[in-house]
Amino acid sequence: MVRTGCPSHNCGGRCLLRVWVRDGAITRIDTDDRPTDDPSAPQLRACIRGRSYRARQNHKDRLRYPMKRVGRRGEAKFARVSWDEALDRVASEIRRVRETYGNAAVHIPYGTGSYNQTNGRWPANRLMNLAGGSLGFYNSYSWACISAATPTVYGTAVTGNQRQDWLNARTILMWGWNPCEMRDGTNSEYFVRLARERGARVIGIDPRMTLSAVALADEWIPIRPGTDAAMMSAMAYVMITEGLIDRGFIRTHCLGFDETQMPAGAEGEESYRDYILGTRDGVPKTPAWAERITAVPAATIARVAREYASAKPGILYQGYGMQRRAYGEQPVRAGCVLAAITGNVGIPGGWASGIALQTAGGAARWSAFPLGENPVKAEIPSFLWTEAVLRGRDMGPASGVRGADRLGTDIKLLWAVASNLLINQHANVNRSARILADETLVETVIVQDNFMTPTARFADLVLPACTQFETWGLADGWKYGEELLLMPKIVDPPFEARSDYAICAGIARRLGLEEAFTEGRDERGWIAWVIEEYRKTGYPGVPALDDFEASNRGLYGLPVKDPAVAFADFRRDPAAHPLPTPSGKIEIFSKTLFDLGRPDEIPAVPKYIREWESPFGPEAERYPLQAVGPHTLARVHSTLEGVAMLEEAFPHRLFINPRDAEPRGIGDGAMVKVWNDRGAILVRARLTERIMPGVVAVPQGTWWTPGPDGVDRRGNINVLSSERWTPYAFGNAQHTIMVQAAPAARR
Amino acid sequence: MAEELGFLVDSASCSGCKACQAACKDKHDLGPGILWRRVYEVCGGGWRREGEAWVPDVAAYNLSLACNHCENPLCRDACPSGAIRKLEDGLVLIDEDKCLGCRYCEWACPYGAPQYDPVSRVMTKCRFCLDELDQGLPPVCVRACPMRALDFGPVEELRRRPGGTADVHPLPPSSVTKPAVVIKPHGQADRAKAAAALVANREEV
Repeated sequence: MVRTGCPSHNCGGRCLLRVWVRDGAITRIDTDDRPTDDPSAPQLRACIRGRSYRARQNHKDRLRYPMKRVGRRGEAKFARVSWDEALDRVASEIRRVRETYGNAAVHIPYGTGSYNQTNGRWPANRLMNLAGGSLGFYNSYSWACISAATPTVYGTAVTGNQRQDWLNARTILMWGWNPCEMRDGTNSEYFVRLARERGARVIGIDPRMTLSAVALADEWIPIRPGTDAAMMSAMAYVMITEGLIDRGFIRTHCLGFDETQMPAGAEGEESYRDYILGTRDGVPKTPAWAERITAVPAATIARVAREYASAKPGILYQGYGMQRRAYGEQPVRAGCVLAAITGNVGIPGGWASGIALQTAGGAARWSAFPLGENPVKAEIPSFLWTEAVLRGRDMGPASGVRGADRLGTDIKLLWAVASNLLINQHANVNRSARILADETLVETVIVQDNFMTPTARFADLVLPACTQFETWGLADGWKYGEELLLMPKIVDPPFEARSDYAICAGIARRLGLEEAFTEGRDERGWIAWVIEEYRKTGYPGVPALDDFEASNRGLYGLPVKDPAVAFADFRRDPAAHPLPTPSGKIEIFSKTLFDLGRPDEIPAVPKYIREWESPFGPEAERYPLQAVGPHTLARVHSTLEGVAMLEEAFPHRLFINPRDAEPRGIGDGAMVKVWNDRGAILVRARLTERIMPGVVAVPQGTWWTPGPDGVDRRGNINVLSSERWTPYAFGNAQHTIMVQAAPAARR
Repeated sequence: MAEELGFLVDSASCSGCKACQAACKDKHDLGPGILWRRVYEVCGGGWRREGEAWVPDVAAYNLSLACNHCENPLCRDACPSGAIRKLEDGLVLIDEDKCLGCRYCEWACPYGAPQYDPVSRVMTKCRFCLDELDQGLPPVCVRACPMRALDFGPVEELRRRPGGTADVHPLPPSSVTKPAVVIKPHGQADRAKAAAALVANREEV
């Protein structure tokens, strides 16, 4: 039995597994068995995803050999080739594209299918950085708006208290936040339970009555998707008009709340208070105003406002789904502002809101594998890779490009490592498929993965990668970073599969870069190196690899007995400890955003903005249902597709309220067609009262499987999602979609 | 006589994540459709329109159930081959060698505990992880719960803990089989009963 970190697929957790091996195969998986389970260092109990991993590991569909495409791209006709032929071809394609178009024509896209230092896209980045560089990206599909918008308020993304401090809260608003399913740090759901037992009242605000709403919330408030900023604004209205704001804190710590504290150069502009009271636009953001938008009763909005502003300290924990939307920057900023004007920032039991990365106690680094420096300075927003394929040469800062005035070239070579982004996880699958099928656009597509994913089906070369049980790795605690998890190589890769690191080392050899790439290390050697790196940065006591391995503990933790509180110094003395914002204060009004001169889409104070696809526009006549694509326990994004135990536990369904289903003739269990202008999917219906009328949910990540008619048989919601990006973060707005649904025609 | 063992299920804190079900399936190598531990989603109620608002009156919670190792095991009474016995420590076990696979026990149990294995063609069910207990460890389902909502112990002791019952909607009255299970009901259990809530995830259990 070997203790190891759960294969880290960016699920939102990092758990400990015990893995039994017999005759070279994994025979059983259990979880953390430490004898103590204290809140300072609770057991890292794996969820059903990690527990189901044996079936993925031993799956008959694992990729076995390198393969090259023999049909048209996307037809998924492949022939087996030797590793030598495959790696020669990768090296020669990198050379050719580099020489023809320049290094910026090579792109290693976003993807989180493997996350353990030596497996995943990091070795490919290291190699390309040695080989002249490649077009980089910034931001992510998970956190685009929240990581861009949080610093507009606080100057930093490090806004979170450590979770043990949640036990000091009296009020917790789980706003679009569902830790029971996406975990958001192993044990986050458990800490909310502990806080509740200590007396916190928990309110879940979400269009779905999620697993978290059932297990953790004293009250569930359904809200129409994409309208969170409206409810937050109406809460501010109640707080302002009823005198519930923390005037002292606003005066000393904030900027732009009202006309008395506007930044230089914006005097006389619309302050936050102006917006809320409607002094400029004539629309007071009253609870009655918000009721029409959010479908939350005005009285409920007022009550929650009073509760959050009065029963302090309180936490307004923002989930990430609401920021993967049309104007996803706005609810992030609006939530931060509510935390600020109620004085919940910088105090135990409070919470500044925003992305809430951690400062003390070893914040997650996610990866410490050394990438070197990218000689290509240009970066695109991760979500805009199809734009860089179609019009990269002319793309500049107006399209979110950083580090260059123009890219100067389109993307000509895509090298997807542990990424199912190109087809499955990007928005508007049919569009992505058309783009990739055109071999004059992207000339070379290389995919390294464990399975023949929808992305791999569009590859010119498919390289079989090993799983994280088959190489050496290390992970740190997801987001909260309170432990390191060692991931020893436990079993051999099947057939000819290799680690992503070994594949990249083979390519490096052909590019004459082997020594520079490997520095003489194999996967285990790099994990030893990475451990030393962690030792220098927050884990001074971590054992060296040999001892760590010999102990078979699998885990090195940093118990949290005295949880850190973000902004405590700033709270105490804002002059001595200013925020890293232009003003040093909490920027309720952002002069930086004001100067962009796009008030309709990027207002200087957070506002509710009607989404480009919504129940309120003409599009709702044809497509009256809002569709959201939540994370599910059945998968980690698109990983773990095809594992029977997960499909049995959480079958893929369209979740729809009977009030929407019955008029359409949709019965429970019926096959349903869901469509909009971008495409159509088939999925069985689950009628449930746990979703609000007018909203349907199709959990994201199922593998696109189009039939001859182009209709997806496996219900991938990205067939329906839009490639349009958010105005400030250039982030994905994949949850902002309207659809129609009807019983599928019998065939 | 050894004290009878039972499970404690804190339904108020159960999210329905099914880590318990998965732990059980992996340890015991249970094939598709065989669920020694099942997580029932109970859901009822509905919605009303108030002005521009949607107001839910929805009650939902989860019941994670294995075998309740009942004091009055109807499965045993229904078994024509004497394959089911109740041991001194209270555990109700199936002797798979004696089982005919007739599935009478499956029909008799009001909790759905006996599970037919189509490969071995016999009935199977929760054995309370006796091998784990022998090592001084809790059953794997108990150790699995991310919410720490499962526990086990001498059932008389569990019954003395505050707030427990074996009569939770929509389970049958505990007088039928006298199950060795203690459930802390969810705060919405009474509303669910009033709304005649049903098991909402039948295809999953």
